Amino acid sequence: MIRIFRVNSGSCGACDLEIIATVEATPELAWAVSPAEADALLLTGPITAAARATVLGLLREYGERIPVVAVGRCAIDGAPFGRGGVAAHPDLKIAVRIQGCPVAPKTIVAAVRTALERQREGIQ
Amino acid sequence: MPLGPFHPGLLAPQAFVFRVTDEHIVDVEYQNGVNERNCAERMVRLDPASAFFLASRVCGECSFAHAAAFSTAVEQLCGLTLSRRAQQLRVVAAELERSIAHLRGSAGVLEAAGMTVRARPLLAVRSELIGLFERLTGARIAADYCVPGGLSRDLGQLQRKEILTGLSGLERTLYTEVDLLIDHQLLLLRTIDVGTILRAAAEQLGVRGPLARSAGVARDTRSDMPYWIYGEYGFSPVVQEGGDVYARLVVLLLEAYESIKLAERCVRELDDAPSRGTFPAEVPSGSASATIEGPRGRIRYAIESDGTRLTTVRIDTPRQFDRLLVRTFFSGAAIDNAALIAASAYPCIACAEC
Repeated sequence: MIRIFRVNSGSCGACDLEIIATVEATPELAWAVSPAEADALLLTGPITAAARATVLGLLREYGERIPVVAVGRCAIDGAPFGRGGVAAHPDLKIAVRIQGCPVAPKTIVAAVRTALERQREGIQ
Repeated sequence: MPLGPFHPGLLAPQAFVFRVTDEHIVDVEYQNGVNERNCAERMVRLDPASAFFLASRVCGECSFAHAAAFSTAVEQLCGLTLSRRAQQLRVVAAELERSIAHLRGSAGVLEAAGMTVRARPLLAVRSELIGLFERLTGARIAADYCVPGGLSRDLGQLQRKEILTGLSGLERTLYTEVDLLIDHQLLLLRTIDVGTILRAAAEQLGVRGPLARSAGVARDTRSDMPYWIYGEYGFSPVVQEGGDVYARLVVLLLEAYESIKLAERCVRELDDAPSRGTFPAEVPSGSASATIEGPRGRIRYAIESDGTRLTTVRIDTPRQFDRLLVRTFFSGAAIDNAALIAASAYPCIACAEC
């Protein structure tokens, strides 16, 4: 069982709906109640000005220990909402980036698995 | 007692701080604004086609409604008219989008009421509807389906038949489910007179869409200012008087059902005229505005153009929560009902904070 925690940093909600659909359709995935209990953090949204302090604080606290997956184009570089996303914060450790606006649900499961594998390899 | 800003139960970031005495909420503080992306301001700096791309990505769950409102405004500015088939296909997409959104909303209410078993069939219908929506539009979330002058793709005969068969089956399934729920004793006990918003408050606080219609405000753009084929087909809104969680759930369920029926009628009576459109190479100078009934209520786009780019874009969207509204919804309620009330208001933060 892989527990995921979704962090919406101001997205349109489309990638969030696809993540919810993926969790509903995949018995292997489940929701974590808090980021501390998660096996993977899924970041959506372009990290808006109002979200910056909270989201960066959360990712910096847990990002070293828990792999972070940037879901969707705006989480990667902010498009089409302008500059932003994880590209504006190079110090963040991002395990996998999933392209798409919105992303396809089947790519989410694969990306979460890849992120966990990379994390394991990194530890070894 | 805080809830949010990031919580598995909340689609978008928002935070509530409840002050609780004797297990009842005495005050609630609402923190929002995390989703502010200033889309309208950004659209002015883009060329019209890129602005349109952004408009269709303001909100994921209501993306077709946003694209349609922007398209309609551009159509007015360019003097484009829609073929009957294009109007019908737009109604199909808009109604399917509404039904898909409403079913997620009503399943959320049932889950919050502890009736997960009853929520499952609704989510199954929703997932089938998404499949049909994908056949129609080519994507599960159709940000690129609606374009000025028509639609980005046409509906083939085979897909049309599949959608028609699918919709009539789902209509029956949903009817049975709604029939089971509407006088479900446990549900009535759990939801009646919970999180009530009075009609006067709903009107004064500018509540729109299903939230207003569940408090007795019979306002719906589809019947008040009919656009596309709605005027010809005749449309009467679903209205409930209660203003409580039960009324909101009933409005969501009945609207989801009515939307499927309306979509089915459009597909059945589909005209043969061409329906394809493309974004015009030039948008003439002038101003225009368009109002569409999105899943959460009236969405209005007002645009002004100087001939090469847009000089003003104003987006007016519905809002389900603000400081006053949360106090109206939650004050005096039992803390156990907080999640239920929040789910029944069915907030769309991406629309409210565009």
